[in-house]
Amino acid sequence: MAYLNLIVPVLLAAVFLITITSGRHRHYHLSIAYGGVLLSVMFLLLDLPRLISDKIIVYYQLGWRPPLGISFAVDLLNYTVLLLIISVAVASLAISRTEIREDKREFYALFMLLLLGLSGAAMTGDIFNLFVFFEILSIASYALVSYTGRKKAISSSIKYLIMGSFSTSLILLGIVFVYGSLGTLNMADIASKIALSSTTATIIGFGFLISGFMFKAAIAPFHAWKPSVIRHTPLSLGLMFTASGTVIGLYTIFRLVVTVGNLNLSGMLIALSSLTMVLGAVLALQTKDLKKLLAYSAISQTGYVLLGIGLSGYAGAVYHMVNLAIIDVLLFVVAYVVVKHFSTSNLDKMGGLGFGNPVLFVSALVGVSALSGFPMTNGFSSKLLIYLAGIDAFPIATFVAMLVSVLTLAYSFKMLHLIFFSNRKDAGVVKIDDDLKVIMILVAILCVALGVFQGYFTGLMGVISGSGLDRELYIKAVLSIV
Amino acid sequence: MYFVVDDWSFIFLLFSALTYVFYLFAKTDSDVSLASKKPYACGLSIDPDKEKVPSPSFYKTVVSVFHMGAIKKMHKDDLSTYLLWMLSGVVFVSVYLLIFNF
Repeated sequence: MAYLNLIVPVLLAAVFLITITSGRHRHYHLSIAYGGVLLSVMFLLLDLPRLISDKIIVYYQLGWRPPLGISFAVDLLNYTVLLLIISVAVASLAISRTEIREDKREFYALFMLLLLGLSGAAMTGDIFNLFVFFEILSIASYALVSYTGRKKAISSSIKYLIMGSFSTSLILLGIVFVYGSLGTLNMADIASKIALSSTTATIIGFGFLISGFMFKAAIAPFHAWKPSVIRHTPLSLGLMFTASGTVIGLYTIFRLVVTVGNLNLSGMLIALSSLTMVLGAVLALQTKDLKKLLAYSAISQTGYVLLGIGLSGYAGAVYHMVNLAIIDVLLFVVAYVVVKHFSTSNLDKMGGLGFGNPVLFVSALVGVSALSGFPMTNGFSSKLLIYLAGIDAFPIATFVAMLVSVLTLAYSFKMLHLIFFSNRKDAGVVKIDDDLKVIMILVAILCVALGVFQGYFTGLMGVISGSGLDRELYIKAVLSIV
Repeated sequence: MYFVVDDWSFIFLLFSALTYVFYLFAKTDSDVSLASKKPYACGLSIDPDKEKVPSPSFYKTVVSVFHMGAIKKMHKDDLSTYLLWMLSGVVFVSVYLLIFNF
């Protein structure tokens, strides 16, 4: 029995439970959400030994075998993605505990629906099923962006909905082209047929699919929705969009380009990644809003992962994808504490927190150091792998990436200065909730540990990315070819 | 399972520890605040506790020399511009795929 297959039903059950609880039971919404997330973590851990021995776990829905039936196929790559998504959700729920004060039922029901969409998209082995899960997470996202009911939030939600619908249409159109030309929707079946039966329609279909998922990952020129959305949503949601949303978008691009399509996209990925890195960093340098700065920063870091994929430095790409999520958790928790203290996200109205807030300051320092790629932090290890992959093959792209690291350092320390050291008048001791303090300390330690023991983790990321590269195993396991 | 700390990491850790030891011995707490010394600049007295560099002043020269402001001006939350970018992205991706993968 595959426990992983229970994650989607459990999350769906949590959505229903939250929806039906009201009146005097309304305080249980967060507990139900936590329950669903913790059960998912348990299922993940229960299936780990089987995954290590079998290398891939395939579950056929209702016993129907592919290419007709829908299957969930989980290897080490999407297991890692799933683990990241659910871990980010834990941090996000911790922030939401004090951030969300009204309409908790709607918020947590939509939040769990978002998580369901993300988890399903990570596990599925079928492109139409992938589209369905992306639709679920998109619809939940549109509703959550306008959740506060503020005019600007609703305006940004409508813009997000229009752009999101455009990207969803692209994905659907891509599926139509691929199905029309290859006659299958199963990823493993597509992978087995693409080399022999691919036509112009298949290639155009892949173009649409990749473009659609680039929107989800906020890769330039599909990036414009992100800052506006993050600016007007609660930080707990911003974290989900920035970390989990980006990770699932990048994973899908990796899966489609490398495992399923085996496409030669180096030039295109390097060009778009360079554009994404530079745009994100240049915009982060100029913004005065903390939330927007984090959104631009996430866009810029997404470029690094895409660069790793383009340079065939898959271990570096996966390592940076993991780091991106970890660093985002740390910085968003710090940002939440800071924004809550000053009641604004305007950096010009902050300052003086560097005196008497050691946990907050050290966490922020570790976060920005990791983001900038300082030695002894996780950001350094993954960026180094990406640089090494590109230094001989594409030195110009590698130089751009290094230059963006300098820009990252510049905007990170501007943020650090404005929050902690400007306006030296003591801003007082910030009260940090215990759960957030624990998360900050643990994630900061993790950032340093991943950097210090980089030899061990580089090897681990090599194994994880290698499982995504093993097309033959994927095809044989899903299609039950002995 | 065992962890390997490479030479560079070890040296970095060692020097970090040494720096901390130096810091512990070197730090002195001044009982006189900078504000009480009443510093001034250009004939005006300033209060160091309230001085603040506004965020637009950060990297102002770099931003103006490299015309980075132009990129910010392009991001005006204009939906039709964003959709146009997306469309150009789709065309770029599709054309690239058709040229190099068919």
